[in-house]
Amino acid sequence: MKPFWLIIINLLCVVNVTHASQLDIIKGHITKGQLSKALSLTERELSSDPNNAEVNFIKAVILEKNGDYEQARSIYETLTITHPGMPEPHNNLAIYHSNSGNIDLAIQSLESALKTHPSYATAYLNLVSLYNQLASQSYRIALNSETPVVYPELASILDTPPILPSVSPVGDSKPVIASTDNGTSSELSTSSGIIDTTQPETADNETTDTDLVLAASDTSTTEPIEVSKPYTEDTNVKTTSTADVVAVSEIDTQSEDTNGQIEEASTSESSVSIPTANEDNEDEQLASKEELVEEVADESSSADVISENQLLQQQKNEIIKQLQHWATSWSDQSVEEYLKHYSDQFLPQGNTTLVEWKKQRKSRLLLRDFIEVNISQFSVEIDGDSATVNFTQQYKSNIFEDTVRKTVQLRLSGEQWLIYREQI
Amino acid sequence: MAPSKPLLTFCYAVLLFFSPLVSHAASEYEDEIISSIEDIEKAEISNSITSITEIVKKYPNSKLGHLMLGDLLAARVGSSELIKQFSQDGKQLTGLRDEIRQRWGHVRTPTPPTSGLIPSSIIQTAPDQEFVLVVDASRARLYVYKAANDNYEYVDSYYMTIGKGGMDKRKEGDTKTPIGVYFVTAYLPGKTLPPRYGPGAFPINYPNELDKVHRKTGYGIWIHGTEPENYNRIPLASDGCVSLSNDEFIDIKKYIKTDGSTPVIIAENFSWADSQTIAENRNEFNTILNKWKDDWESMDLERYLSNYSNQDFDNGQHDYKSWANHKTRVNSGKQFIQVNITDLSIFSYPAETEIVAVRFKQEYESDTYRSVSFKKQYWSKNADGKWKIIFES
Repeated sequence: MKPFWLIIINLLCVVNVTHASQLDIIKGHITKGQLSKALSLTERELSSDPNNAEVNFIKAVILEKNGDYEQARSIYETLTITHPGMPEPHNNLAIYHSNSGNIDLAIQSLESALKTHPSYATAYLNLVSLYNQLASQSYRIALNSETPVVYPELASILDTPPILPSVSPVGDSKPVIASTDNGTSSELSTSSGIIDTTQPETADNETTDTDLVLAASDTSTTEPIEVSKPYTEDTNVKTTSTADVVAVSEIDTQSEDTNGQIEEASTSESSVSIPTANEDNEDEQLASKEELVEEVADESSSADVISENQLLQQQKNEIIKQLQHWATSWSDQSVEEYLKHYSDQFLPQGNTTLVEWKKQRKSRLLLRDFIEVNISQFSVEIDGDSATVNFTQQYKSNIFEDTVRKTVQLRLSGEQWLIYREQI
Repeated sequence: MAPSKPLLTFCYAVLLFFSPLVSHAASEYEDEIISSIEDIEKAEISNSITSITEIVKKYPNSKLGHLMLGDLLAARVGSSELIKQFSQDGKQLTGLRDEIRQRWGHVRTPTPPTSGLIPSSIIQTAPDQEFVLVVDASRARLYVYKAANDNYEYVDSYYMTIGKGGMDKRKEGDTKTPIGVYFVTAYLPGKTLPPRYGPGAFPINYPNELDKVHRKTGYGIWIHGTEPENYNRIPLASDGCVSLSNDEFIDIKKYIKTDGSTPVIIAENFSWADSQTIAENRNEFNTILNKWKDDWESMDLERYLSNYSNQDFDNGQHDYKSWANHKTRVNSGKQFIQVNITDLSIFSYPAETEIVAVRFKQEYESDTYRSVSFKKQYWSKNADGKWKIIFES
């Protein structure tokens, strides 16, 4: 016999499907440009469920398409208060602010959109780091520059919010938003172009704005802000944990089942401050690799609940940390520290014995006026007690300089991961 | 202050000023660069990132491609200040912006050549002069015109770089590019040259006869390729030479002969004319030359010498006075003089003073002397609008 709650869930699913298909019908009308039909359908939906966030959102999108920006804005604003966890209203509000020349508010809104899920910010900043790295590489070539390219250490996300069964396909609403975005923001990007050129010395803010809009105006590829799935999960968490908002009965029922998880989620969300919270991008980028690695390690140890994945991540971080130490001791030319990272079973390349190799290394390390080793872009594979790490090694001394992709194999010996193979 | 705004901004500026038109690009490289900018114009940023990534893969030494890619990637994430870390004095950046402006201007705006106009410097070509090279510094462009049935057709054009000192070379080491009418004199294969010249070089006859009279110094003005690190140079980046990308240098070889029959007219700016005006100029100057010939054949010394500028004549050996004496001595007591002119070429100087460079094959016969020679004359319009010879050899 089915437990009672399962029956309820089944029932809810049926309700849910009708609800979703109703939204689909509305969206279908929007796509076909039948805005008044879409609007009257949303009104009908809202008459029975006036606080439904998605329907309200769709309504705002329709109003915006109709040119009724003020009303759309007020719905978006309400949604950001009643459903602060929904990124879409923040984003669309940002476009409104930006269009009315209120760049500061637009930035605030986008920051809020990113804050709806801690992973967005991290993923976004990681993306920024990588774009910056690529851009730097190109600038360096284009401008014959000697400035070294900073290879960013990407921040990893150490905790995943619990995955709840998704209530309705919110992700589907995306294309609608995207198409609204497209219309408004491409106009916007052109007009900013004018501002930028006629006033070559405009404030940094404005430039940033142009670029952001430029990025946003393109809907065809990965967009840092538009990650729809995590949003669905997150909204559920928020809706249940902050009970004052739209107590949708379906979610309440489900939360009985998953309550424990939700508790965990909200605590971990507040205690684990992911290394790259969107406070200050630049500082993050400039932070040295070692700091980041340490930070990451600290974070993971403070997390209350450690999943298998997290354990693995911790191990990876530990390996990277130890390899960074290996590189630092190499740079510092402290031979003893450097050699401590090698296992007794280390097999030197070529025909040398370990003893000979150690001697050779010692003289190589000590004979240089200076050595600078930077390692970055790690890929770590762990298999029990052994690990294989791929990384980029930039080596520079007074007589030689190169950048290679290196592979080392390590074995865990006590606390230490020791290198037993090393190859380029 | 070092200019360091991303190129992207600049692209938009360009787009606002020039309306889209039929494109005519000389090279595949330029086509690809331009079409990437067109993607930016359409706000298709990911498309342009993809296409520029392809370009820099295909042309790894394209500085322009790298700059555009850097700008687009930085713009994608709002890193408009990033470029400052890499732009030291801003020179290279300004140069690349100039380059893109020039290239874009060529492809996307109506230029005189693409609108069927001819530089008014071309008046008449000799039968062996099949192509005329026109170096337009203001447009960073080398145009190729083909002589066809007393008319001139625009056939091709190349992005090019002139001297870092700008135009109007006067003395050795001023890194300027000379202004004037020149001829290609030789071909130097790349393997005989330092790598910075690319696959080879075509020297031109700077300083020419007139330059020498004007005491202009220097030498080694060439049309050449580019060093291996760059796909092409930014504008104003040679020591006075005309530098092309290596691909285009190899391509342009088909238009150049090294026996002196390839004219290279170099100027900051040209005035442009339709073919009818060119024909009128040709008639006008043929009349002037025929008058000179008739005056000579008339054996009336005064009439003959009236063709020479008593102010400015100087051919290195003679000024007007000594030239008049010399001619008086040579021409006295002749029974007849007959002059036949063939293989005539006439190019007017593109600079502000009106000078015309004339070359022809002269068959001279008198009762005492007979010769066939190649004559070079430079004619100048004097204050009252009369054409006078200022150089002859």
